[in-house]
Amino acid sequence: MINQLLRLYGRWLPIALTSTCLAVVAATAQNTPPPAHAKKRSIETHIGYQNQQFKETQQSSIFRQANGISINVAYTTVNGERNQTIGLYYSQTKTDKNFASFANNKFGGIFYNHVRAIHKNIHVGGYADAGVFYTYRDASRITTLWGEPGTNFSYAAWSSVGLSASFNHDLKKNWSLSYSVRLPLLAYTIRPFYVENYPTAFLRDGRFSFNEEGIVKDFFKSGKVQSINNFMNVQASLEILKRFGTRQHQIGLQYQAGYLFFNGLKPLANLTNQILLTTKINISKP
Amino acid sequence: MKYIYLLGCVLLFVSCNDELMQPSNKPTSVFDQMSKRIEETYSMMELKNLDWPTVHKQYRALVDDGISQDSLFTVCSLMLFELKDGHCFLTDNNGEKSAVYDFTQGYYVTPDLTPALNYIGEYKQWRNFLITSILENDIGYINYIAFNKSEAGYWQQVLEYMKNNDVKKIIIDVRSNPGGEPLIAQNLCGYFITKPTKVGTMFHKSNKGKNDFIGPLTLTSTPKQPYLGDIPVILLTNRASFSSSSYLAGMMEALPNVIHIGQITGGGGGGFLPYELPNGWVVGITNNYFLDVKGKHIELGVTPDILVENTPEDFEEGRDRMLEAAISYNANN
Repeated sequence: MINQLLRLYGRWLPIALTSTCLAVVAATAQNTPPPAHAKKRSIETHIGYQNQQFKETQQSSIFRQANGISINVAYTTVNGERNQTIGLYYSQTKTDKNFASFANNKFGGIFYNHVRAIHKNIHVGGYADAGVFYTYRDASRITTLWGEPGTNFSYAAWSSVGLSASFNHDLKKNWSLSYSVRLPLLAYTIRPFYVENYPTAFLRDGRFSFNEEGIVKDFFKSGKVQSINNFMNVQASLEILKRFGTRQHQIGLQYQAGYLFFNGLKPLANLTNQILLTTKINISKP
Repeated sequence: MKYIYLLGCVLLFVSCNDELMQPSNKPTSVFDQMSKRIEETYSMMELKNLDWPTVHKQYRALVDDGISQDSLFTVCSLMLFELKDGHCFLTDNNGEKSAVYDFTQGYYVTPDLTPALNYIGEYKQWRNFLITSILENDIGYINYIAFNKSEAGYWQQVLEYMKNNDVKKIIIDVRSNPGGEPLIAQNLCGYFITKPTKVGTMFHKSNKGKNDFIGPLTLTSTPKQPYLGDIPVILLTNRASFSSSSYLAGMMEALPNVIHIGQITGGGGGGFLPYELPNGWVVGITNNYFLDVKGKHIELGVTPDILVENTPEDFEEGRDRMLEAAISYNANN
């Protein structure tokens, strides 16, 4: 029941969260001067469970569900009003084995986020990221007279820039709540041709080889510049943290929703829901 | 504030795409999804002279939501067989039941190649997929059982072995070879050429329209060592020589010292991608095709230069007419 609801309506969840957050930012960011901050540096880790509802129209007629682990690592510096984060994210999920083929997904990337305080609780700014969504469909149990024909792979890669915002609210007894969103505006996306996994540029040059020489170079040449009508990678997270220790380290839980969408000849949609254990280790000198 | 709402509305609509809806797993939906996939991606509809909407209508009349999964599988398989393409397949959730078109229908193919053993005598086996022998009159015989990627490297050793034995003619026997990695066929041509040679072209489906293709994309073989000189090469095929075996036969049409003897190949001149249907079945549909240097399709089979077929009686008697023809072939006559 929950899966069905997520497949049908879940794609709107991060978008709804984004809109809500932007509305909150707009409603509360009125003429309140940001506070001055001392320079702080911290290392964040997020480890936990990820659920994906994904569909690649050239490989499947349906959304499939995959479950697995997610690991994110980030380094953050807070310098006065500026807040910069550079980080890596990676997840690995598998679908159930009720189908003739089962998918192993790898979803990872790198990001840089730069925001400024416009209010004591609110930061807005931009981000840049690069990532890849790779699916390996294992269908080794399908056999025909001439072999094992079902196994294949597909991929989508992107590099994007966009807007980001976060809202932080201190609760009682060292607890805090934070809420952040990222919304891409412009992206360079790489996605293979309609029914082939060869990079687009590899097939456009008028030559072809089963040897696949030069395929890596052609992979990077195959991209297109896209905007939000053809590419979306919205991420929203809600986090509750508790400060501890003399250096104000933090530990808590994070819920993260994301919606990755590639339009065009080979559409891809991937809705992710994650529950992550979060730690923020403050490495600044006291 | 109105800009925020405007942004929200834009976000809600920009990611709409009909293809990203979730179809039901009812039999009619499964059938429709499979038929749509075939219509949009199958690359040789014109060659097979098929009007897919007519085929769809014919089989759609046999399906309703009360049909059993077994019956649905049968109807979907029969519809798939209309393509007459041995690369297209349908398989159930467990991979236990598969439907593949039998491209050898209407041809006699010997159950195995045991009669050939009466001619080749003592042989050497190179792992699982290559058998070689040096026959009388310095004829090198190579039986290639399957185009297995992990053993492709053995071809160089096999041809060095042939060169060391100073063979005057080579027979490459790919009868009943079901295919495998087509790269091996492209590379194999490289041992029989002295300069880069165009061996064919590929066309790939680029969109849903029936004429949407990318191509021609040129396939070129580059010279490889050891080169055995300008000796005659005889390619031996039967109707069960499928896929990469047909590619090899098609590519070797570009090589002047190759003669093709035997039965027409089984075809299989394309590649395919599998596709998951709403009930967990997987259907594989051919989405590209190969043309030889003369611009001919190999999908329906590559016709030999010298047509020779074995009969059931030959098999009973342990006779192999095809191999006899290959052994006795004299390039100078």
